[in-house]
Amino acid sequence: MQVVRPVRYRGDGDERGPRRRRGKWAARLAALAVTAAAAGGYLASASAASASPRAGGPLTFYFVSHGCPTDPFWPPVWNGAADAGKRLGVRVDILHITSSECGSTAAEVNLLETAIAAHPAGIATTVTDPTAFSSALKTAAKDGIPVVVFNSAPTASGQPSATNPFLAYIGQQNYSAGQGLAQEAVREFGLSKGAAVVVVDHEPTNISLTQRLEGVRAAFRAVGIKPTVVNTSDDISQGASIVSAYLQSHKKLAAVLTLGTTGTDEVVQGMNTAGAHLKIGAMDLDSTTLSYIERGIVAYTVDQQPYLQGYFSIVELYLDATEGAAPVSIATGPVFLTSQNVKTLAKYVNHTGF
Amino acid sequence: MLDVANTGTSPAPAGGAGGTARTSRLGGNALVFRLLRQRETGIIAVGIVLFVVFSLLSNGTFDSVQNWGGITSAAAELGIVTIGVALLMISGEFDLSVGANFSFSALVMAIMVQDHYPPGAALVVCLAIGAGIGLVNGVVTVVLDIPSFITTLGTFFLWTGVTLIVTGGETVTILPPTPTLLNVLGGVLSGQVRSELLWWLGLALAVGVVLQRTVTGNWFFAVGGKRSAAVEAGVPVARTRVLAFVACGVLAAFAGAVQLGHLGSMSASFGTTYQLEAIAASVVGGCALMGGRGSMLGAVVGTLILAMLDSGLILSGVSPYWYEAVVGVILVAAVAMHTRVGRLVRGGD
Repeated sequence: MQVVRPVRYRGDGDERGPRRRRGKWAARLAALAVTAAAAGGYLASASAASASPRAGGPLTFYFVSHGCPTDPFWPPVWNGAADAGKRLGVRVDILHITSSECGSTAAEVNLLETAIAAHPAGIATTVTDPTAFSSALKTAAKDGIPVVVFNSAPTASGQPSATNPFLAYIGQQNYSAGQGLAQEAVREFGLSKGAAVVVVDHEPTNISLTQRLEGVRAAFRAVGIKPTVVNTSDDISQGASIVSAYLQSHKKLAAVLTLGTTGTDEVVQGMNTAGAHLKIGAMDLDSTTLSYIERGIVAYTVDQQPYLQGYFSIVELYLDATEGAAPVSIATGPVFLTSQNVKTLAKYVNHTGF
Repeated sequence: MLDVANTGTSPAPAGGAGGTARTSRLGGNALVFRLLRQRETGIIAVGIVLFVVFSLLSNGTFDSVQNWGGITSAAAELGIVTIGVALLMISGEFDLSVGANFSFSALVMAIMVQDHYPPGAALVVCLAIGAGIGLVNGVVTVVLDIPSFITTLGTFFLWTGVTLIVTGGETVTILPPTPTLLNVLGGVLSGQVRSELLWWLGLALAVGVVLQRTVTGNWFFAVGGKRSAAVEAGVPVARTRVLAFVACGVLAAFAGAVQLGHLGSMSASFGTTYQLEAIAASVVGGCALMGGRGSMLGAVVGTLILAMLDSGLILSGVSPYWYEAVVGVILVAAVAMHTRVGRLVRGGD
């Protein structure tokens, strides 16, 4: 940043003499000289640089996700990966999109491509789109970099394909989680044919939520219920006002289901604003959802154990790199959390930060 | 030579006499001084320093061809949007709707391709929508005399909403086999290098030539500089401003089409980052916020700096949490530099 140096002439504002002119050229020549020197230094060192990244250091793994830094769902996932790295004595670089890039698939693909360029011992990534990651995943396969997918797989089955090659999927089957969400609602709330059920989708562009929604629809179809989907957004206050408006115009709802923690917050806040009392079935877990369950506001949530997704991804990559063990898919959920079992799970929940 | 419009009245092609006089006053070493006088020299130096620092810190991974394939494809998509935004800023206007335009135009194209319309026709419709959005922005701004910041903030919400209405928020994916046109727009040329790079640089060069070498180009500087002087000089101010909005709209839509070619899918959320990043890239590259100054070379370098920060920080082992903080610092530092250098070159105005 030496080139910013001309700022030093601030005090000379009114001076028009030759000293001033000489000064400005000197400053900029100096800036160019610094640049040239840096470039020279670089060229000298480039030839000496090793071909492999961080040669001689610990094994390095990259952990790539589409998680927004502001979304409370993600820290447990990142904690899981970091904890595994610490216990195994390997380096885990956790990459995620920035808060201004939330929802941008291109931004995550860019991170994955950067990780591949570093040629690490392994990469764990989420795949939130059926085609966008294809080229990068193929490159990794061609370059012999082991890749496991966690949390979000390109298809509902979680299986790799020629379009999206990877070794294993560590996460929840979103479709079956959606089925579980709906079946639990039928059991817990005693829903019957034709019941008025609303599903709030706070990220309509997220393929994982779409897969969950398909599971919900299928399970409800079996008992003759056709749920209404209300699309909101990641903005909780905006989502809450949409929910509140909907509740005020639809007073007789048998149950409201959510597809993630943000949606749960929106439903609870919207319900409070509208002064309604609803039976709520939720998905995913954070401290707020946990407190809703403890206080009986939310009946149950479908947990995918995000901490395990981070932890197992790194363990599998580590065993692959050190022992040649083939990574296998692991279903980290669905696990049902209700007011009955919330106390027994509290220890795990507190330790992992969920 | 970018200062021609600031002198106010000459719609003649750029390359003005002021520069010649200054060079001769400084005597020999004309080339060195001309280089130093160029507005972009400082920011190019910043770019080179960042490149060198990242290359050293990343132990040879940052400057690999493979990594630059990734950097340039990210840069190309932002860069094509930035060309239009920079052109508009030179004309003294903003467009905050480019991200919404990007997603909406490309989504319509994706839906058409998915429904087996000819991809060429889909691209034409996509660009026409982009032009239409730009035209609306321009006409509303000029005719109703509303600041473009407000007009385009409004159309940003409008088109984001329309996109959600049309798609129900879902991602539209074009499954393989991919139509040839999409590969031409954003497919792999070699390794990780994509055709997007050529589109970006080609378009920047074309718009740059128009800006620097044609009368129309000079009008953009003129309407963004002293507008009353431009009117006196007979520049068609209203038409030029609207033209800049239309160009910006077409370029945003084209960037969306290019990203559709790259990723094979499009959703309402894909363009959301671009409006602010494109303004940041333009400003880092030397576009004046109030118009009248800027260049395509600067827009390209500004985009490249933003695009390589992400990858450079990661490969240097720095947490990505730093990315936004660093962008903020570079943005302000670059503007400070441009302002200072500008004052020094023009002798303290």
